[in-house]
Amino acid sequence: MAVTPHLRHSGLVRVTHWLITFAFLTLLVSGLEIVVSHPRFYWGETGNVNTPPLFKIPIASSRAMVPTAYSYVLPDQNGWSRYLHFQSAWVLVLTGFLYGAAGLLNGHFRRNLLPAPSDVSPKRLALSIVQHLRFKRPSAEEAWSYNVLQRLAYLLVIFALFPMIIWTGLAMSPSFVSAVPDAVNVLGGQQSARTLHFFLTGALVLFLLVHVFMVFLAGFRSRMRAMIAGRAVEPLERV
Amino acid sequence: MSKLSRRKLITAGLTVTAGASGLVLAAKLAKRYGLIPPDSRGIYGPGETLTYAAQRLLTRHSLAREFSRSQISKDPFANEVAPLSEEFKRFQQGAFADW
Repeated sequence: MAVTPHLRHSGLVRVTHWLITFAFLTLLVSGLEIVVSHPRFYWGETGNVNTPPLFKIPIASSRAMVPTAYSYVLPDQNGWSRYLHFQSAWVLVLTGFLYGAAGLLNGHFRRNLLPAPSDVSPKRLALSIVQHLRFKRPSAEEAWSYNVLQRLAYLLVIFALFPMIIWTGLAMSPSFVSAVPDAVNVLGGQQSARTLHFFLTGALVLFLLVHVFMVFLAGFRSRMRAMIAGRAVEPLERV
Repeated sequence: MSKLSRRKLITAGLTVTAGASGLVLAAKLAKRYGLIPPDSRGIYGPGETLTYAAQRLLTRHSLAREFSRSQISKDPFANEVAPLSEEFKRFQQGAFADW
């Protein structure tokens, strides 16, 4: 039986994966700079320094008007951070559309991300969770097919977390909301959209940390090689 | 030379030409319909252009958002004002008689 050195990840998956990674990290840095200009979060339609916040981030601010527990004001980074945030958002959205459309049309989601119905039984899910919590290293076959927790996590990120963070982001845009008022009304107001956007960021950052840790557990070099060059070391069958 | 056939070269050349001319045409059309912003140059140019064009296209028939009377703030919020200069304070003390 001959060795078939086919690719672990297609070229499209690899390119979009790294573009989204870069865009997300840029969005995170610029987004945190934007938070620093007003580290208070509200709920509803409006909120400012005169209204009670839902919660405060205990950091200094780059705006003297915002009351913090600190006697100094951080340097104002609002200019570049907002420009960069919106530009990287376009990179993320356009790349995401490309990946999403291609994945739906060429069967990538159906074949590689959708879990088998038998795998989502409570017993098998519990078993997978326990194996993950024990930091058990994956088997050789797992280098070629995502396990059930991976599939569910990736589907959650691709079809729930990212769409919702884009939605809450757009809901903060006055021009977008004038065209689609329900985008912000359904969420309860512009400040609710902002607070949800912040919590979704937290969820995505948590995903990022767990994802990178799991890649390390599974074998950083082999997984990185597969996601950059496409080839995993082990061929599926040996001669 | 077996991987790089004449057919592949011609296809690649045609694709690049079609793509490039498509982009030039899109830029010309965008300019004609007022979709290119003043800050389209520079490092944030592409992002600003996409945002500007998207807003122009999306809000052609939109009205401003409307709010109910009950949403009018009890404490109106004033934006930050730069600290008043000493000169201005002196004028202010003299009730602006020397203004």
